Amino acid sequence: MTERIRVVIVDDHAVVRRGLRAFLDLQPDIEVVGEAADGVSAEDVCGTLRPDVVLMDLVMPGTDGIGTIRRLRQALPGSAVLVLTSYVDDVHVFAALEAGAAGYLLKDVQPDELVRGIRQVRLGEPAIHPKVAARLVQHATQPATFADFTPRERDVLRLLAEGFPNKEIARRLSLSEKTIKTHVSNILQKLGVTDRTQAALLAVRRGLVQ
Amino acid sequence: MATRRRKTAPERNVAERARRLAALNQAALAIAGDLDLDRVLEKILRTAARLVGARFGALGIPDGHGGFGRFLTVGISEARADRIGSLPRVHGVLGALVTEGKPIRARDIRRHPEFSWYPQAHPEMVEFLGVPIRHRDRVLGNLFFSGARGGAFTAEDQRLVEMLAAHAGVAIATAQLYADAQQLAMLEERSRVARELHDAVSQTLFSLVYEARAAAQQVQTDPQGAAAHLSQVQQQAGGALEEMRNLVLALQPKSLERDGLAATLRDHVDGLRRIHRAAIEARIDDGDRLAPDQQLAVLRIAQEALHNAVKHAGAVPIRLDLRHAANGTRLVVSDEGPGFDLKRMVRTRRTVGLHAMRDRAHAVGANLTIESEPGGGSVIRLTIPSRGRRTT
Repeated sequence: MTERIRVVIVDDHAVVRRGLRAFLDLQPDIEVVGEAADGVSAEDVCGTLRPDVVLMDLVMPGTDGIGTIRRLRQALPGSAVLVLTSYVDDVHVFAALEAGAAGYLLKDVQPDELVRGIRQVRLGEPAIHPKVAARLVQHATQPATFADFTPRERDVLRLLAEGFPNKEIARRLSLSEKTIKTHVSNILQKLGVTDRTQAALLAVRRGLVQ
Repeated sequence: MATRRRKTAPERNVAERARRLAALNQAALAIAGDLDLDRVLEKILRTAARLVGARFGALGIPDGHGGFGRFLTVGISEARADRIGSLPRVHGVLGALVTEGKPIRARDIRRHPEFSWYPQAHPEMVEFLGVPIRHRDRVLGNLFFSGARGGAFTAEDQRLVEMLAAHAGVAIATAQLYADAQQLAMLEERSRVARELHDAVSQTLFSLVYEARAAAQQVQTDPQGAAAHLSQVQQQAGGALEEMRNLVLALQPKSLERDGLAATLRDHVDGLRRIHRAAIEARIDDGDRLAPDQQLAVLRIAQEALHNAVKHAGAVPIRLDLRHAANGTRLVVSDEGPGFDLKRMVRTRRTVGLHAMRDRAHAVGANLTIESEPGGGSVIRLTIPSRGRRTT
């Protein structure tokens, strides 16, 4: 197969697109066919160019990275999405993979590994950064337990599981809504879920709350 | 009062109760209006000791490691405290107060099963009244007294101390919440710095790795191409260096000499908003018509006034207004907090600060007025008349 892998780069930093392009264009089996700086233009560009691989950052201004992956996968099942980002937290990792990303690399990946990753997702194999893989393994073997939560987080989780909104939780615990928001996002991260409904379900299922 | 008839016992009783209630109420109000935990606890301790007629009293908050993190006393002179030496540990009778969470009232505490002995130089205390300080279901500390002037502590004394202990519990819990909130704000500040570093520099560094790698790959086959990539590397590295410098500059606190009064004051206000979550509405004129000594005075006075407002006014809105006009400059800092009566205030860091503000104003030919009354907020007004041409 002499056909080159057609890649679109999606990143809000022009300097990142430039560096990636400089290197990837030199690879005999890779061709950078387009670029985009946010989710909406990524969908546009990919819709027209139908690349084999979309190399994309998750966190860009005005962009719901996870939603973009989901829509790209729906509209272009032939394009594999390879996430290339600086965020290694559970929320981003699990949500991206759930939305259909074929791989998840971090922005400390060496050029050769990146190329290998692009080739892998092109062939339908996952490309997971070792740090991300470690998280996945840990998550699969040691799900969060009661002891992973601070007493305050347990209070918040209990009320969250009862279906109260942040405002009400704040009132009941005599804390500010902003503080509750921080606790909730820590809880989501520890449980590895993206929204409070999932958190509530998981908490009940694992017996973290009565 | 020889002419006044002697009060009957029930009348004395009613008068005494009224006096106690008033003192209790006053202590509660004082607590509500103050964020300084040590001062609040001291007030509670002194009020309680006075009301139950105790010569000795103490308030202890365990540190969770067998000692007391805070230990306040009345009736023990510093010299005596020095001779006693170390603070008591959370064991014996004091430990029982904390672990069992029940009041102890005894005619002779030395007969209590948990009592061991008094250290050298410790007053030989006989009567004892101790209550736990709790908030919701947690015991946070204890409040205890000895040396009953009436010979023994009564059940009513106990009820009174329990009420004050409840106030102390609320004050301690509030202070802990406040400290938690501040720590959270500090963490948020740190993550803001991390985010800016990430946005400004790490993206460029990531790109550099790829650009350099491209150059390495081409150096044999296409020296010209490699040179082009290397020149990119050089440019981007220079850019990253510059971004880093700017970022460090931006993270540094502003300084009056370098950035001017308006920028420095705005920076200070931003800091208070972030760290203390203070609701400060600021309107700050640009430009400076002031001499350097006047600028410094305005800055320090504004900082002191804001500090007081944030500390004592709590969550109510604070306004800062700095305007330059042809005839002079005017700074107004106001809040809708509990206010104060300067003439009747005892000497504290706050009153010292207020007087220092006034002295500072006079030293640069400005006038400072402080308007406040209990319950009515406070307004601090500084006016600096024009000195004619600006002298630098």
